[in-house]
Formats: sequence, C-alpha cells, structure tokens
Amino acid sequence: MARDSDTDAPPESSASTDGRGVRIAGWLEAARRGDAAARDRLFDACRSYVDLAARYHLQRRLQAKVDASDIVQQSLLEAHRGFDRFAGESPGEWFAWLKRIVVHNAYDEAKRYRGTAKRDAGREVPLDGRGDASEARAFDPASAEPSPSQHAVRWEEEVRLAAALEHLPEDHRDIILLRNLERLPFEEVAKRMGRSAGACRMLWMRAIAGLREHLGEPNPEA
Amino acid sequence: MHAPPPKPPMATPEEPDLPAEILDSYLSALQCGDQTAQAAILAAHPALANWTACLRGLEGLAAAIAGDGACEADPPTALPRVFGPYELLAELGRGGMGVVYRARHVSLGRDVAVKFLAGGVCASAEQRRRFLAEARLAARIRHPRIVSIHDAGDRDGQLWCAMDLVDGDDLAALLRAGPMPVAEAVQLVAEIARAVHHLHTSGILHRDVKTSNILLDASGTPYLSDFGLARGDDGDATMTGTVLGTPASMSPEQAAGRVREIDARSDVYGLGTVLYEALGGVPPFGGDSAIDTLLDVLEREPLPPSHHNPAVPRPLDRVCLRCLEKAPSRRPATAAALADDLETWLAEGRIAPWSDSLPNRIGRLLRRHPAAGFRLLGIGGTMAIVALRCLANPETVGFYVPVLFGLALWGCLAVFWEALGTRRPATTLLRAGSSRPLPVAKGTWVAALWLTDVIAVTLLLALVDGTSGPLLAVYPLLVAASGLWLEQRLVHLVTLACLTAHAILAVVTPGPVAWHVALILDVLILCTAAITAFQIGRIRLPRAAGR
Repeated sequence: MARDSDTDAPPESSASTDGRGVRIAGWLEAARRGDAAARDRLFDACRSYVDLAARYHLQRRLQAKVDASDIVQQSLLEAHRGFDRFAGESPGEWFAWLKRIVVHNAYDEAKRYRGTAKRDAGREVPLDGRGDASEARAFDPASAEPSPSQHAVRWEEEVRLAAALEHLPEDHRDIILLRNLERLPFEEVAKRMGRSAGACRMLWMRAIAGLREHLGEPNPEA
Repeated sequence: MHAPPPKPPMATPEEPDLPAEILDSYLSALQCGDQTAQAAILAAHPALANWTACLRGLEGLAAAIAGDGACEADPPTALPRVFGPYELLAELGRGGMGVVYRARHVSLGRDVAVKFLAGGVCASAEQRRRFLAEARLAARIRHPRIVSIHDAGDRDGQLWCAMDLVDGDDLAALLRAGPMPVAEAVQLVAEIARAVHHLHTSGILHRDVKTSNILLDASGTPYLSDFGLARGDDGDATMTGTVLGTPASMSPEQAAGRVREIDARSDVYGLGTVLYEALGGVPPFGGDSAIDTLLDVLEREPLPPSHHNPAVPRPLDRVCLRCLEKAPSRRPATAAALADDLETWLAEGRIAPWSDSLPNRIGRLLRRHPAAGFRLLGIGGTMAIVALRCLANPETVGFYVPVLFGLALWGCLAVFWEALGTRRPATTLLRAGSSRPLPVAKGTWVAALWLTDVIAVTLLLALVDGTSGPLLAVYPLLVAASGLWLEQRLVHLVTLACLTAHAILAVVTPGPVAWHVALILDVLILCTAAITAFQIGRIRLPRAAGR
C-alpha cells in the first residue's frame, strides 16, 4: 500500500543516488556472472539493509531491544554461501531473498532467545515472505508498477537510507526503527523506550532531522 | 557504536513553527495510505514539504524490510496471501518434509494443495534433491486414486509444488476413532492396492504406504499420496541401508535396512498394515519407541485383526496376516493379487484358498507367543530326552515318572500364564522389551512367569538330586534368558531368585555339599547377570534417544 502511494509521488530524492555511487542492479548482474569484486561490493552495500532488517524482525518478535549482530553475520554468511542458488535477476528479487534469510534466522534466534522451542516447525518461516505478496506484484509486467530502472533507483534509495540510519546516534536510530519502520504509535514507542510520549516525539523529530542531514538534503527553508 | 550527539541536529531551531505532532499526524496518514489526509496536512503546513521525501523514503524502507502493510499480524504465516499464481488460503498440515497449504489458482479458480519444502532457502542439498525427486516421480503418474502433481518450482530458493487438493482427513485420523466397518475397510484397501499396483507397473515403489498417506475426500474416496520416499526404477540407489519410513508400517526388510530386498512386496506389506489398522483399529505393531516397534516388526507375529475387533471374519484375518509375512516370498506376489483377493471377498464372501506349510505355521505360532513357545520347546526337548532314557533303561522308569510329571506341569503353567497374558484387556503384557519400567500389572505378570520357572527348575533339580551336576547350568541360562525382556529390574529379580533357590537347594539336599563348587556357581550366576544387565544398558541408550 505504502509503496503504491509512494510511486505515485514524483521521485523527489532519486537524483541523489549517483552521489554515493550505489548501483545495485549492475553489481548484482556482474556478481551473477561470477565477478567477485562486484559481489563484494554488492554485499558491502547491502550490509546495512541486512542489519536493519535483522534488528527489525528480531525486535518485532521479541518486543524488546536485543543484539542482532549474530543473525546479521549468520544471514550474510548464508547469503554468501547460497549465492549460487539465488535464481532471481532484479534487485527486488535479490532483496526479497536476503530478507527471507534474515527472517528465517530472526525466527530461530527469537525462539532460542525465549528458550521455548515448543514446535520444531519453525522452519517454515521463510514462507513468511509476505514480501511474496508485494514482490509478486512488483514483478508483474501487467501491473502499473514503475519501470525496472525506476525500481533500481528505489532500491538504491532504500540502501542509502539504511546506511544513513547506521550513522545516526543509537537513540535516534531506535526511535526511527520503532516509529517509522515498526509503525508503532508513540504511546507504544514511549513504553518501549521508557520515556514519555512527548519526549519521544521530540526525540523522533530530531532523529528525522538528523537523518535528513545525513542524506545531504537541502537545508529546510533553503 | 556511536557516541551520543553533542547537540540536537540543526533542523529543530530553524523550524519552530512545525510541531512534532503535525509531523507525526502526517506520518500516520502516510502509513495508512490516506492521501486526502496527507494533502490536507501538507496544505495546512507548507513547512512539512521538506520532510516528506525523508518520511516517504523511510516508508519505502519499512515496506522493503517488512514486506507488508502496516497491519501485519504477528503469526508469521498469516493467511490468505498471494504466492505466485496462487493464493494461499489455509494451512492443511505440516510434516518433516514441509508445510502444505490449501490454495487457489487465481486465474483458473481451481483449488489445489501447495506444498513447500521445509527450511526454505536453507534446506540442505539432499532435502532439495529429495523434494524434486518426489515431485518428478509423482508427475509421472496419472491414476484416479493417486494424488497428482500439477506444477512445481523454485522461487528464490524456496521449493514448492502444487498438487490435487483432497478435501478431508487422512485415514490415520479417521481410524483414531476406532476400526472401520469391515466391508468399507476392504473396499478402501482394494482401491488403494490397485493404485499401488499402478505405481508398480509404472516402475515406481512407494515405500511408505501407511494410513497417514491415504487421504479421504468428503465422500470417503481414498487417494494415495506422499511420494517422499518413493523410488523409481531408474532412480539412484544411494540410500544404502538407511532406515527410511515409519516404523509401524515398515516392512521387515526395510526395518532391517536390507535395501536390496525392497521390492513391490514391501509395498504389499505396507498395504497389509493399512488393512490391519482399518479392520482392527490399531496398527499391527506399536511399541513404546521406534526401536521397540522395529524389533517387533523384525521378530514378532501380529495378533490377528479379529483379536482387536471381533467383527472381522477369519478369512480376512488370513489375508491380512499373509501380507504381513516376514518373508516377502510368502506375501501376495503383487498388489493386484491382494486387490483380487479383497474384491473376491466383497463379491462372493470368500477368499481363494491358500495353503500354508507346517513349518510356517509353527514359526508363526512361535513368533506370536514367543514366551510360551520357547518354554514349551525347551520343556518338550527335556521330556523327550528323559523319555529316551526311560526307554533305554526300563528299570529307571519309577525314578523318572515324577520328573516327567513335573516337566509337564511346568509346561501347563507356562501355557496358562500365556493365556492369562494375552487376554484382550492385557494384550500388551506379552510384549517383550517395553522401554518403560513395567507398570505394576504387567510387571507382576512377568515376575510370576519367571518365578514359576525358577521354582519349577529348583523342584525338578531337588527331585533328581542334581545339586552338583551340570544341570545347575540352568540357573545362569535363566538369568541370560530373562535379559530378552530388556528390563534390568527383571534380570535383578531372576538373579536374586536363582541365588536364593540355589542356596535352599544346597541346604535341603542330603549328603555333603562341595561349598566351593556351589560358590563358583553363584559367581557364574552373578557374572551372567552383570553381562546381561550391561547389554541391556547399552541397548537402552539408543532406545531412550530414539524415542
């Protein structure tokens, strides 16, 4: 839903993609042909995305802040090892694939963390790709989705955002994760962060402003 | 990782007229996809324009990470959802191999079952190979009683296949409520036997014919499914000796890992287990653990189905037990032959006669009642020797007649205990090798059986004055034999009984006793007990683990 509405809007910030030289589609294609350097660059660029996705999925399952670095490592390792098995071509498929690995690992980790391995049937989680739904739409040639090149731009935008988030101070990143990515209302965010809702709102606003600065957006009122 | 910021970033002081509440309400509108509200808020607060790109970007990122809208429910497999050309509607079941969903082909409007390989992109190469092999084998088959596969694929590393949807339970679930009406059960197994025969004529062995692989639709029509272990004749023979399958429905050759011997008659055995359970309501063998069941499959003879369900006619008992023969050569040669038999019975109420040789019958009797059977063999053998001795030296008859009587009485007692133990409410009493400590009733029964032996042996020894002869070897023998129950407690009990009996024997026997010889025998008894108990402990380890 959000993506649909997003694509209706003019690509306001896409012009900045070339600034960091991120070219997911090109690297992916080269890596699939066997170019090791391109593969390294691809993984490098996607690291922040994996990190963010790991945090998101682990946190959502455990409803608490936890260290996600293990599953980031694990997921990147699995993606590295299983790269030959990745059959997709577009960045969209690539990120869906990465996400599925992360979700799977987050599920296992959450289970371990809770220490309640009640059902061993947790292995079905990769199906969780509710991404399946949205991604399936994204690749449907009959739908009014943006062209492949626009796709690439959008993924680069997301990679750039994930990287920028990594450079934010810890509390700023946390609150963006809770409010923007987990989409929790401030009452809930406040509970999780142990602050008042008003304080959270202010913190959040400062976090967004900081993010804009990192993205190198023109100063407001400029 | 990062030090806290020394100062809040620059934006806030420069935009004093944009409260955080407004930014928040705009984000809420964005997250709900409410474009009118977005436009209205933006119109009221032009300063917001500079923030929208960033918020929209984060929204895109949220979607890229979660892959879903704002209202994602926590269960990771919330349904319905779209998968390729299918819409997944509900989970039908899950097993070791994967998860099965009820699904609808969106453009065709046809309902199917979509199965996913467990483990997704992380499934091992072997699992993937097996999954694809199953799909390929099943795709070769078209039969009205076999679940067929329409489509299969690999979506970013997640293997899936779409197959016929059978709207109903499997046979195992149905039989949990008890046995089926006899005619219905026979009809069902006959149909499945035809389907299995079709597989065989196509060069495919199913290798896992069991009740939970037989699906029933709403009208009760059965379908054979799950080719997870099936092997085509052109297939690889890499699975050397691996025990695959479900213990309770596994043929002896499968249970023993004699892979080369597995052929169409192994599937006939599987059909036999289905027929047995459909008629009797319980599987032919059901041990407490997988190892127990495997041992039973290899060594024991099932009771006839009519034992569990008196409504089962004798001819069907015979058909069923014939399928469950240990030696494949004694089973019906093909699934079609079994189907013929069953259909003949349905049409004419009789089964084509089938002769059985005497050794087979004796063998089966022994496997069905091993405890009493082997006792009678031993006792009978001894009686024969004693009788021969009487014939050779007629003057000893007076001495040996009480011995013969005693032996005969012992044999009668053994049969009596057996009859007591196999009475219907206590069918499990006889089962050797229960991995749980014997419950009281069962334990009492087994203890009585063995104490009878010790007492009988001791009385006979006293009768023949064999307190120092080689006949005393019978005590270590008893201890060793008690180990067959795989219960250390039983070994301890029998050992104690033997030591006591031996001591009493030594005391009551008139004449001088060689104490050192008696003590040596005691040591031998203890050694036998220690070895036996040690072996049981060894077997127990995998038994406990294999549960």
